[in-house]
Amino acid sequence: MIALRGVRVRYGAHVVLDGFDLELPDGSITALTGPNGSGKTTVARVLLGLVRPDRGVVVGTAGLRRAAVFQEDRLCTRLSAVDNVRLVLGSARDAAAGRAALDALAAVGLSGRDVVVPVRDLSGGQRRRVAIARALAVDADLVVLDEPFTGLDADVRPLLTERVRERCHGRTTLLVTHDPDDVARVGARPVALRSAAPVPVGVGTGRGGPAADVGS
Amino acid sequence: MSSTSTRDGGGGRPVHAARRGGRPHARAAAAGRAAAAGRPAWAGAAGRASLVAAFWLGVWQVASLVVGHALLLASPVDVVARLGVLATTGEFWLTVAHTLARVAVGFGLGVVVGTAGAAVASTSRVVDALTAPLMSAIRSVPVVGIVVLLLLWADSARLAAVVSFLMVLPIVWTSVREGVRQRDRALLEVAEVFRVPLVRRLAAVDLPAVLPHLAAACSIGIGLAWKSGVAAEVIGMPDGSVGEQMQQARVLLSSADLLAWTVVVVVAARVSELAVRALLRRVGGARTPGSRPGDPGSPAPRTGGGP
Repeated sequence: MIALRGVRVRYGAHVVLDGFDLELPDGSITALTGPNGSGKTTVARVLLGLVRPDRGVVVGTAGLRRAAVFQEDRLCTRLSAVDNVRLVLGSARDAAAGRAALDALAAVGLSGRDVVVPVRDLSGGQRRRVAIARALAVDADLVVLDEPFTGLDADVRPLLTERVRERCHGRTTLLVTHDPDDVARVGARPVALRSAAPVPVGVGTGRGGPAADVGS
Repeated sequence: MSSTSTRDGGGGRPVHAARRGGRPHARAAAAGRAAAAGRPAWAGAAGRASLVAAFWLGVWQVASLVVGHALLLASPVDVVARLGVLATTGEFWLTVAHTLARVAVGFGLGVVVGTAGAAVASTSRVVDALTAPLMSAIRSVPVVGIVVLLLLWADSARLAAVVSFLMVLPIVWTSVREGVRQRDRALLEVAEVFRVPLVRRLAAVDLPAVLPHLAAACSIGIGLAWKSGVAAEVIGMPDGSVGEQMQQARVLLSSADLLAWTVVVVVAARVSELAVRALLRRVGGARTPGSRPGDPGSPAPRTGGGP
């Protein structure tokens, strides 16, 4: 079980999260939804260890191998797609890492010339798919996906959501999204951050179905 | 996957103008445009450089005629003739090699120590705070002051190397320090989250950010190394050095010799600069001054609606 307990995060005078609780059962896929500015990305960054809470604790993440899709693509634009994925898998001389990278990219619909040219020569949607492939290629214990499908054409979203569903099955996953369709396609348990105001949040295990509103 | 983009027929990839190949492609394209426009060959880059050189040689020739005294200002013809005579002697090439070796050692050490020092300073605020005023002081001290101090402590043989080192060190240190500051923070977070090993992270994230700054520092530093190294040799006069030859030319009132050795230094500095740039390009495709602008690793901006 991964949990955030009583987490408070403040950026200057702005309190983003205050007394925030969240539980992610092992192997579950949880979708965190909510309006802009409600702190969803901050929750993701706390789980990834990129933000240290001012108060509260994060349990269950020590020693976990993490993978992430950020809101931005965050790719090395001079490298090819396969090199970007291989960067997180193994060295340039590691043939197995190279094969795994190609497989991960093929799974998101990228192959041929698209995976060997510098990613700066790809379209925005293709770069997005590279970022998703990079996260799904890693055998991670914790996967955090922050708006992973934003910017993708409607006709490729089903492929990508299915890949996420397959690859994240059995791995503890947090999906941050605005889109309820994505929540359903990925098969996630929805949790809603209702507002930007700091509210205590609780998530019971085992609840599925409609979004469980959090806060008073 | 549908592609309604007008960009290309397969996958919606943007059609870019030729981006690979850098300057050779740019030069070929420029030559092609010149030919297509019906302009003569001398309108190209090489032709323009030749015209500029001819212009300044002409100015020099006119100046020497106006001065009218070869002891004060030898003409370009006299200087070239003198160079031709010098270059037939083995002593000339040995002298150039000696100074080149000393300047190269000083420059190389300046680059290595400057890069390593900047890397350490970027990880430690204490080291950064302690070394910043030191680099500023070294940068400000006149060459002649350093030379006089060094002559008090050591013989003149290593003068050019030490002075070159001290001139190059603060430039490289400051530039590399700036490059480290400009590393892509978003990519560093990716490396942290995915636990990318340090060596791979250095190659993929740090090096692309630092290399353009290092390349710029090296371009400036190599000229400064030559200038300061030879100046140190003129003062200290180590045996078998270009500086010694220039000092002798001054004593003998031979402006032709003095200008000939000056031309040697200018040419050597330029060739050294080109060699350093070529080496840095091989190391990492460094964006050196004059090369095409690039994006060494910033995250690609997201655009909506792509496949």
